[in-house]
Amino acid sequence: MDIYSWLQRDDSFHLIQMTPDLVKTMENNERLIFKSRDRDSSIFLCSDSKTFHIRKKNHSNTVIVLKHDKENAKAIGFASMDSELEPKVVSGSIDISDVPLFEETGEEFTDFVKRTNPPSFADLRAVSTASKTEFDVQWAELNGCEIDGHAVILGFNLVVSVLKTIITTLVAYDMDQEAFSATKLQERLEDIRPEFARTVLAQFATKTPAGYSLDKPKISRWFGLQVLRSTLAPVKEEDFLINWKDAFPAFFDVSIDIQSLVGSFVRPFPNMVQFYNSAGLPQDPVQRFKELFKIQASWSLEEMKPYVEDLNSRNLKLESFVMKYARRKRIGKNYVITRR
Amino acid sequence: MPSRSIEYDEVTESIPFGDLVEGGPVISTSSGLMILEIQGDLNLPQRIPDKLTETESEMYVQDESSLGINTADELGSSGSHTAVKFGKLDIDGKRATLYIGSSQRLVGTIEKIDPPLGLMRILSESSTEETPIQVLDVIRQKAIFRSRPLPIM
Repeated sequence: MDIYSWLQRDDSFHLIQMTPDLVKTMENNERLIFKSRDRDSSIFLCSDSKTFHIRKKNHSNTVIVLKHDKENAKAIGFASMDSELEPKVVSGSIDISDVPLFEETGEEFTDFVKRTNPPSFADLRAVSTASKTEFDVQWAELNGCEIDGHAVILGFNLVVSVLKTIITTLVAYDMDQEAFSATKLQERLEDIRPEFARTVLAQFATKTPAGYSLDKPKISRWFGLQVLRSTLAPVKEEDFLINWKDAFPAFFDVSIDIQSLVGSFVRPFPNMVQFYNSAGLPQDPVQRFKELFKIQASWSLEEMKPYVEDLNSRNLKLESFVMKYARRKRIGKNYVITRR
Repeated sequence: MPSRSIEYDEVTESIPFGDLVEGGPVISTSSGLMILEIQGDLNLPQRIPDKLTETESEMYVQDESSLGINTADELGSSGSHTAVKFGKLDIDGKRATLYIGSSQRLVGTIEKIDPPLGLMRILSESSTEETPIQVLDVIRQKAIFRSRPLPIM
């Protein structure tokens, strides 16, 4: 066949790699949207369930796209490509820098809107480089709330207050905590705005065919973290457990387990616990282990795991990885990890 | 924040991508699209040069056909395009030969593209942000020429 090429080729055409993840979203007939924070930023492709980062892969080959005219045995090139787009699945994110924090201070919400100018919820969803599912999950985790079409984040004190009121109401009216109706609950939450209750339920309950079910392990862990955070100094483990149990609303039956808080506390002295934020730990493994042993002289492998697993880039067995920077010491029947 | 939705109705029929017919002589898609890849540059004129001989003039034609894909109307509205004949492609099983001019030939192969490539059209200048981006076709094979040109004898 004869091969032709347009003299002025059309540069509006682009090639995109149809990776299995992207094909899957198309098979599911999901909506696909290209997004970018601004014209100079990275490009993302968001579906209902996945977020793709789009990388432009340049090449120096001559790649011509042609239309094949079988009848006249010729093909005519109409586009020439010096790159292809590579979609790679990444975690989506919500940019909440413009979303104000809302606490109940007695201020009218209309005055709050005038003062803080929150973005609309629809706009926030549209501009977020996150799939629909990721947006919903992250928005719930952030205590995000849509009030009169505006996007706000509920403040910590407000969330505690609403959560306690919801639990107290469920207990007081003897409602099934594993299958309750949000509508019936709302009828009994006289002073709580429905938007607040929806936000708190989105984070602390799961929706089942029978209704909402309180996520008790999550509620337990969340209250435990708040108690841990409230004391900066080391506290006796026994006292901490008592304070944790006392933090729940009266008659709320929930179990506590300090292992559910692993990764959020350290043991600077025997039988003492203290809140610890791992965000500032060094990225260098040697320095990281040095810092950890400075805080706590000996560790159980389970309690050390959350502080070091991100460094194990070669996916070694955790114990083998830890042994490169620490040593194992036998104490009675148990082993502990100590400095080399 | 810029955002554009994508329409891909035209390609959903070709999903999931099944196995290719091995050794098939046709490398174009059902809508007639194909890809030629040549290692290195291929310099083609961007306008018709002056003072052409009759034989040289015959290499330039007006292409008024549509692409045959669902943007045919849009492309048709942009008028005809001048095209230059730059070669002849012979396909024999998985072997492809591209004759360029009267003195050079490139020997290449028909290869599966993994992952397949979707052809998108992104209209930017005269369109608004509401214009969706279209995935027009999915191309799964290409003729690729990796070796140096050989003389035609």
